[in-house]
Amino acid sequence: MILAALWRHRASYLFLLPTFLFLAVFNYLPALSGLYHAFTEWETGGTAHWIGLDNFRQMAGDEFLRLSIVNQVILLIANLIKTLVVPLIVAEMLFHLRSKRLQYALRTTLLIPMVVPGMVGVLLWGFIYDPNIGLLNNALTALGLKGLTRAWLGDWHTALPAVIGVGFPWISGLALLIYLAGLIAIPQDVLDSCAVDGASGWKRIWNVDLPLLRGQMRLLAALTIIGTLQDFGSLLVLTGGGPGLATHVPALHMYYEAFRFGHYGYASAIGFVLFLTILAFTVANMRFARSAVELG
Amino acid sequence: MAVRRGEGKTQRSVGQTALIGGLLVLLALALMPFGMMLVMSLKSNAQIFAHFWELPSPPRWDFYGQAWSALNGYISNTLLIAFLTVLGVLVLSSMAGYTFARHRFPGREALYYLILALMMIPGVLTLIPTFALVKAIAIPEVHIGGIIFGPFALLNTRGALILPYISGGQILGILLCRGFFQGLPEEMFEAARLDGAGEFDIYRRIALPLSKPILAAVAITTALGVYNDYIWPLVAVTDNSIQTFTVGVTKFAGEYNLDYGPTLAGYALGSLPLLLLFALGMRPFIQGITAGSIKA
Amino acid sequence: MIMQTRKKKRNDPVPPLGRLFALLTFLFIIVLVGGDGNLRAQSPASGKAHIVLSTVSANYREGLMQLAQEYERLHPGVSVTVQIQPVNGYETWLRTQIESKSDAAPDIYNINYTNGYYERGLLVNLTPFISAQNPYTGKPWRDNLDAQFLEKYKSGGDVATIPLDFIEVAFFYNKGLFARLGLQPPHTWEEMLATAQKVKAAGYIPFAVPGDTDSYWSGAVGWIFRFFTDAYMRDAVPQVMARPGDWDYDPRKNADFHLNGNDPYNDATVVVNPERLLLAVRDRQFRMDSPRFREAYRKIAEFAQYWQPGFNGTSANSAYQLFLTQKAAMMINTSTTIATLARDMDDLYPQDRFDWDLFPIPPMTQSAFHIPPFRGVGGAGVVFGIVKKSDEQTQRTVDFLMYLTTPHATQTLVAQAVRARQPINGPMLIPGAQLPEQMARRFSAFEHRGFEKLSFRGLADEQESVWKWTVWAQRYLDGRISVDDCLAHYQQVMEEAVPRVARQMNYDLDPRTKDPPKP
Repeated sequence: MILAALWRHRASYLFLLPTFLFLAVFNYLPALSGLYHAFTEWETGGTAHWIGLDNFRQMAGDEFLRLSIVNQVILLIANLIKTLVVPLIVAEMLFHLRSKRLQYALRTTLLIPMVVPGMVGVLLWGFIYDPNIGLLNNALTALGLKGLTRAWLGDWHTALPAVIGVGFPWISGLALLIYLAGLIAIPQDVLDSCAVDGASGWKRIWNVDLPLLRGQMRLLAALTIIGTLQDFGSLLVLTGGGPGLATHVPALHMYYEAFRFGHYGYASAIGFVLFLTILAFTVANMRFARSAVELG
Repeated sequence: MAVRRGEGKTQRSVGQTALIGGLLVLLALALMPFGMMLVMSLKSNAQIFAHFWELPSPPRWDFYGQAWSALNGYISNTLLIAFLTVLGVLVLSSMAGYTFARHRFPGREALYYLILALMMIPGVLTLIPTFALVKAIAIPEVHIGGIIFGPFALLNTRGALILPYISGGQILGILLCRGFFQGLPEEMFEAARLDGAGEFDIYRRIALPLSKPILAAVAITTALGVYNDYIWPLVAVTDNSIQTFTVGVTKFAGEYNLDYGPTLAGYALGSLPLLLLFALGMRPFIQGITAGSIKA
Repeated sequence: MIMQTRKKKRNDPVPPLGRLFALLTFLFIIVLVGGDGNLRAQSPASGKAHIVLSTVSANYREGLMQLAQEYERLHPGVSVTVQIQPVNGYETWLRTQIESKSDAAPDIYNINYTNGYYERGLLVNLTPFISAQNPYTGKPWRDNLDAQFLEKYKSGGDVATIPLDFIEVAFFYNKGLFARLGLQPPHTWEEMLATAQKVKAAGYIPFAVPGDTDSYWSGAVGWIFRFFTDAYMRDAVPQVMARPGDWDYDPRKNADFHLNGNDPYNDATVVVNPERLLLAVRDRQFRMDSPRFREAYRKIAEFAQYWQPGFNGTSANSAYQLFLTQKAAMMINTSTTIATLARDMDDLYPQDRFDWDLFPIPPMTQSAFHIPPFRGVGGAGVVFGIVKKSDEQTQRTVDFLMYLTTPHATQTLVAQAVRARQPINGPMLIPGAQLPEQMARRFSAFEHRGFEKLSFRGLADEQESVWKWTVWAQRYLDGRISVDDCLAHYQQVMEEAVPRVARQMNYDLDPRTKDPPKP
């Protein structure tokens, strides 16, 4: 009887066939393969054979990996602050503008940085940090602060802060749009009742706007966490993890292990652990998220 | 809040001025790196060394010519890949999104959640297996009647980029399309069915034309993703003639090791396609993000 | 919710298979558009006497084309084609052409892009021709080739390649600045450090040295560690050279070897057995935490004091710019940089230009181990070899190559490159060629340096050990860990790398057996 039902709806299944063909080959298969190979020894040019938890034992003893985790935590916290706080402030500022035309104009111009490809932005900042002809050092010298100039990406004290500083003033276009949409969606009567109650300015922001934006903040937090844990392209291009291990992160370690040293099995194990971490954060995020928002 | 035009000396007006001032400062900071990029792209090295802060004199427009001849291959490549990817994603997402939204068949919810689950799988886990998979898709030489086919290998071809992009891009596309199609009134489909139209015709003649807004948003998001991707083209493609812009520009920045002007001109040129994309598609993009985030 | 109460015959729910087929065809086309799938028929061979030189050395384009034309005028029945290929894809193209024995395959090309081709019998053995007379010089061919380099690039005792030029490193210095500070180019390592001190006192950066990860492997810091460890390990060569019974033992080379620190080419022809080297590391015969390494590393750290701040994150370009903008007085760089520097100097505003020159890496005179002078870390730039085709074709091509390696040809290559503002790799290896005087003087800083023999960064070229060593070395040179800490970890890195390298190279760690490379 099931077969009859399937046959009756064969149009639907046929419509979905191309989709699932693609997904099976390019998404499910690699995902399962990645999970499987984390438990194998698999070197480039060789075949994979099962070794159980050995890769994970090796990870526990990998000193370089341990140090990279410290950097990752720092970067994660910094990125969360960058994404959650700054665009929120700017969105509030825009929201409070009287003139809708001005609001629209400013919002659009603030989105201009999105037009620049991500990698170009990173390279530009590498250029800004150049010790010789970079904008930062030249600006400091022009302001009479020559003593503050240094090799920002070369000095191990300043390398990680410099990486965090990329993108100043950190007004992420995506976050800005999301926050602004959230603010505009606040029902007018809520705002009116606040005005009547005399709760204006900071009080309103703290007590009304922020709770109502919780959904957006959670979405952005989730995106930031997932993005930060996975992103190593910019680090690869800016510093390569250096100097030493000052800007090394687990995802970069995984890339080196796989594509420079040929240890695909070990790298898969690192990827597996990263995946578990991301999964844990995502689940935690979903638990606390509520799409319906109570208006108190 | 009633919209009241600020008048010269009221407190509200001062607040507004402060707001506008603050936003303008932030805007200036956000756009500064790009302004620097444009200005310095016209300066020769000698000018940069000797007169860092002055405007280019003479402005070296030929740097844009140099950058163009070095990068236009990469840019047009990326555009081709993005175009084909978007085509594939639009076809697959709309078909599957429509099917999930308006058809009923056994396993509909289960299949949909299977697809959603894929969004949680991070790129780090699938990077290596996808690479191994693409490397494995290869056919040796085949002789048929005097004509030699192949050898064909997927690695290091545009297909190695396009196929995984389509497969991954359709996931978000399906999410958005399904949401959109669910919102369409039932009557127009009923009418079509009563008239005896086949399922595919309904999809093609009714659903598709209506979905232009959401398709635009999907197209832009996908194109943005393809243009910005760095790691996958880096590992999957080694032939420069089919390499993408993000990888090409890092090579360019490394090769033109001494001429900063052309390098920066290259960055500016690489932003042009995205600039066009945003100019044309800003509205649907913002609508899509706004709508999507409210449902979060 | 769709209630399908009425079913009409015309209500065909199955999308026409045609459309599905169209969709799949469309996807297939995507794959083909991007793919390498191609239809081709074999092209018939052409009969005319034709020599094809295919090279990536774009800097010699004008010179090669002129020489091709001259040769055609000398030999009316022969046509010579010079193809300049981009580096990217060159190797792939070569492999497909040569391995398929296609007639479109080049006759002469840069053989350093195809490893192992001579061993596989795809290239011509030039040894008999070396003793033959070169019709364009009237003497045996070997007389206008550099003996040391010819020997170094032999393949299993046979001449498989003719090197035309070589790349080497030396110190560049700002002559104008030196004059203003009353300094002279140093003749010993200690003098150099004293000079650096004076430069530093005057407020300039003594040395611009890039120290990013790339640099530790293939850049300045890598060179420094190489020529240092080579000098400190010269005495150790007898321990790891091939012995009677080893598969690569050659009595002509290894039997009569005596160490001589004064001759930089002393061990140039000695064969070092790679498995013996691995065993020496594994069995701790060679220790990274030995007193020799300790002194070597401490000397390098002493040198590093005079490098620009933040060197461990500086790229080669950035360091070069420091020198070009006169913020740094000296830099260590390759012979290829000479042309680049000259060109960039011309592009500067006149008031920003300065006088510059080179001095060779000065020898160290104060060492507990009396180490010999530092040797070269460079190698040949353009290496040409000949693809094996018919004997007739080989004769023809060898003749052309003989023409290309005359002093006249060398002068042409250089002159044309200079005129086209193209870079030159370094000194040319054809004796007797007259170069422009300033160029010849500058190139002299690179000559007669010898070749490194036993130098250590990672273990062999294994990238994992190289990276790990880089991290420890960077920390040490940054002053964050002690030399003993660094070397202890270095020792560990090397020992751990031995089984990996053995597996990679398919070594059984028995020096007597030749181990075939992995397929």
